[in-house]
Amino acid sequence: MQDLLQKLCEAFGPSGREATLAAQVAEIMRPWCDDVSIDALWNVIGVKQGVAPEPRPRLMLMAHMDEISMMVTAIEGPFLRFRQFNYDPRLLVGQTVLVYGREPLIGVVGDRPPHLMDAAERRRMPRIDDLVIDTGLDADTLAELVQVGDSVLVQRPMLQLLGQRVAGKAFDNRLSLTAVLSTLEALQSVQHPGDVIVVASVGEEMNLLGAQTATFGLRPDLAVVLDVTFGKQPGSPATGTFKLGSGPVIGVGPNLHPCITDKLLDLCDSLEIPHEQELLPANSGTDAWMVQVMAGGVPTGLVGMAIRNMHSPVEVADLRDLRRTVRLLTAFATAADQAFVDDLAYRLPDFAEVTA
Amino acid sequence: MTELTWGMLRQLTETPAGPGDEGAVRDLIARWIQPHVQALRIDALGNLIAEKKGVAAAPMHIAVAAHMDEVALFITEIDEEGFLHMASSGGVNARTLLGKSVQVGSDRLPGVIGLLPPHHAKNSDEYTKTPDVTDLVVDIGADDAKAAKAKIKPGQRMIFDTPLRLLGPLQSLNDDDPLPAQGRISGKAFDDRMGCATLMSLLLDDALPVDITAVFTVQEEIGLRGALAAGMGLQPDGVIALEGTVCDDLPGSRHEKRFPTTRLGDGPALTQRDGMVVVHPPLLQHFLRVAAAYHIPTQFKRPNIGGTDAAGFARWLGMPTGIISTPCRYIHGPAAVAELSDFHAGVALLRASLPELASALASHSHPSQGS
Repeated sequence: MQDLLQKLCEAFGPSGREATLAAQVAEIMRPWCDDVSIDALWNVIGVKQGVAPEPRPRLMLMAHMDEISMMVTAIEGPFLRFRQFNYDPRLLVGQTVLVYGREPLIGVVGDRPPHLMDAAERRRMPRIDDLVIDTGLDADTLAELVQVGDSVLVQRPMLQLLGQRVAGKAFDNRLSLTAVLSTLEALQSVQHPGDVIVVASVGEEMNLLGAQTATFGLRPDLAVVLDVTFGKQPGSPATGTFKLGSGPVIGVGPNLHPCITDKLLDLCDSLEIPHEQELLPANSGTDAWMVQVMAGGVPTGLVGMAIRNMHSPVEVADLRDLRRTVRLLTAFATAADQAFVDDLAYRLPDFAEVTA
Repeated sequence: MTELTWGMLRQLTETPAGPGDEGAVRDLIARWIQPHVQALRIDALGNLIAEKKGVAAAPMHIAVAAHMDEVALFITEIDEEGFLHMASSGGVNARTLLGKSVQVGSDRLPGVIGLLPPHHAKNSDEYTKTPDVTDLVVDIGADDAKAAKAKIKPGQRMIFDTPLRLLGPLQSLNDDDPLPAQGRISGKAFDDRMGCATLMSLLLDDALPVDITAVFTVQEEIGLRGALAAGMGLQPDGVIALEGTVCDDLPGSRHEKRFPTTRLGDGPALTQRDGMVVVHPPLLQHFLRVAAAYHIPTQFKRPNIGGTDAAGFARWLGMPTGIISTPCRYIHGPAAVAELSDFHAGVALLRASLPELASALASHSHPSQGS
């Protein structure tokens, strides 16, 4: 599971440019699915058929695979100007990056030497416009290999920290993608009644694009979305943040179907899986926000895993959370039978009783 | 002549050596140079001092110095959650710490310096203010204080976790490969492992023209401490300091159109005057003559910036000094950038300057001798 996470988090997959990653993910899914396809937007869709007679319930497990990134905005002599999407620009100073031009190029995000700054300048962080990427190439070679619009990612191999902790880039949301794919693997040796449809979605970090189109196309009977949530770290808010290693975080609120939420919580209790609840009064900030309202409405659940330093190249996760999430999802897929799906439907009151 | 290999420069830059904790780099250098020098010792502060016999005896005692230490983070506290708190030991550029990985202690445990997610930023001021080093923490993945304390002690150092790389198209070199003649490299601690590498190149040369005393110093980054001790301890007649120096030839930089401190690729930088010393004028003229004769490119470093071990050596007794530097962009940050042709030209200049170095130093008699 750790190897899979490493492979996925080190891969290239900015929002809107998931083609290469989609092919890699499809390759991983293939041995564990009856059918794997990549749709027009590069959503990867893997179907593993259930054992119940048709029509079987269709459960969609979705995790987005796109990541935050940077883009070249201008070539200025031997240097590149760039913009970042969803990165705090303060994180970028001094990073080693990969520029995805005609071939990948190693570069460094340059900053002025502190020796030459006055006190006021040292106190002020550079804005994105102050920064350049230095690939070490001369202006002509650079212009040959790079064009405006090319993607840039932080070059960040995954790190094994103490105990069960790991650090790396794109744990948002490749950590969840790892959980979903590992669930597929776990389901190989378990009988599950309904079809399990695994979706690695695109474009979440932009506008939930993949969640919209994939759900519309698939029209599942129910869905569980996986995304990362906020880990506790120095300075973080007291609520809405979760200790790493405290288990999956089950979303609770109007974005989520109460019966799915309850089922996830019940399964945690009965399987003695440590877990937390994230109370979401409105938008969950995940694919679930889109999935829920697609195709006439889809009963949706949300399972999160806490990471520190979200949207940085050193997101920190706890592998215990990952393993527990896989156990929970496997149990949920096994439990999601027709009776459970039938119970998700809202019912009118018994009019006879009212009139009597 | 033994060539410096890619693997030697890689190990030299990647090995940790915060100020006062230079042992690992010192051992590395000592093992490499030991077969090529006549005497090797370590002084009371930890400076590594090597006597190297040349083809000819030098008529005066010439010290050539490079510092082994690098800017580092110093662990001040381990908190209840197992996070490491820190202070800067040397001029770490605090602007560059966020979102980086570090190596912690002599076991080089991985750790990361995080940042609250942008979702939790309280106001836009947070985006503009440079954090204080003392407000940041290093996360080594410890569940709690007990787990952290089993591995880490306050007082240990943390350094940037940056492998040596060639910039540009992805390529990998073997450790046994000779250092390429040109190319942009990126890594940590170029200030002053580039100087150490320059000095090592001289020592590995078994046909060095004249005798030199090589001094690999400690604690330069916190006030030239090693050089202060070695200057009095060795009492050389002159000292050449080898440095990795500021390079700010970036677009949009405040000084760009006027006079950048140095430019990458324009050759080794010669100091005329920095913030602490005026270089011995006959020695500077000597470097320029040699550079012209051997067609070695050089550039002047913009005056009045910084200070080096040359000032430390000269502090008590006074002695003629010279400074040759490899320009390094993004110095004191996690990933500096240097041009290998600048480095090689620096080695060539220094070596070619040695035969007449003593007369250049002597052409202005030693101040302590009363002239």
